[in-house]
Amino acid sequence: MNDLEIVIRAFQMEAQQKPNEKIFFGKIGYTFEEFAKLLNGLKHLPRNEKKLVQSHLDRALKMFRENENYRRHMMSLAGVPC
Amino acid sequence: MLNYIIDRPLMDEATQYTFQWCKEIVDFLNNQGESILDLPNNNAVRENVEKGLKENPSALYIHYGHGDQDRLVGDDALPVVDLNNVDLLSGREVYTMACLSARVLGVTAYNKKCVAFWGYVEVVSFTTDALEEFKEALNYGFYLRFKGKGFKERVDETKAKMQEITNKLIADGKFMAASCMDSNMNALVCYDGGAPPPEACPVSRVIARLFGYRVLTTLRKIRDRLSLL
Repeated sequence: MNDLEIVIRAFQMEAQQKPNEKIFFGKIGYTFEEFAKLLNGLKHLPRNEKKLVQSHLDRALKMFRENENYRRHMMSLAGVPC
Repeated sequence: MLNYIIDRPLMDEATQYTFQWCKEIVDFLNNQGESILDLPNNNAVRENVEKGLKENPSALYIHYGHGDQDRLVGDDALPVVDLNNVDLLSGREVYTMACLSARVLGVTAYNKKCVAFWGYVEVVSFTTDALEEFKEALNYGFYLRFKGKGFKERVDETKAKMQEITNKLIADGKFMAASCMDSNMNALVCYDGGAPPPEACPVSRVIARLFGYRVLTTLRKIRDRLSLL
């Protein structure tokens, strides 16, 4: 798995644990379950949704690469050996 | 004369949370005996905000709700402050918890001699599994004001607090919340004595300089609409 796939996998695992919690990007909100589904079909999303989700993923990916603690926890949740 | 003008729209699900976060500030100010104009319950509309700002020219203005590059949005989804009445922010401190508004409105307010504009240059994001943590982070800079801190210190300490909270969220397994907190931390700015950074894009910089931010914002909106087609 590459870094992006690990981040997506970790978010999806988190969404499985807390499907009804919500994430808000300004006025737009998704349940974690809905957000995880969006991650599955990223390539097929309408542009505005794709932009929103991609921006969050870019930020998470940057954190994943720069923050050792975040990386270690995300890999553990995604079931990838550190 | 009032010391604080506070508008906190309650118009959708997201603002149900920001409304409550701002209530903590309102309660704090009331306990401090400060004179405030609080505008909840459908009163956060342009007419009321303009009246409050005009009648209290040095009051600190607080907005907790939606925003865009060039506006802060009220209960009726219309701007309470935008580039047409940004002059009302001159000579006062502004503390906003709203998406994007520091990008153009904040810069324009600074250029119109606003004392300081506290806000965000990107979309503000949060998750419901960490509401207390987001409230603490987003209100933190305001409370530092009462500890005699300067604007730069307040920004630096607020970012440090956000980093501390991000680390706690990671340890708690709240990864979506952690990345939202990190994003908010990076988007936080305060324009006070130091000039806002110039536009990163050279084309935007030229347009802003030659035609002003109103034209730049309009062109950006047209570009965004075209990109959605």
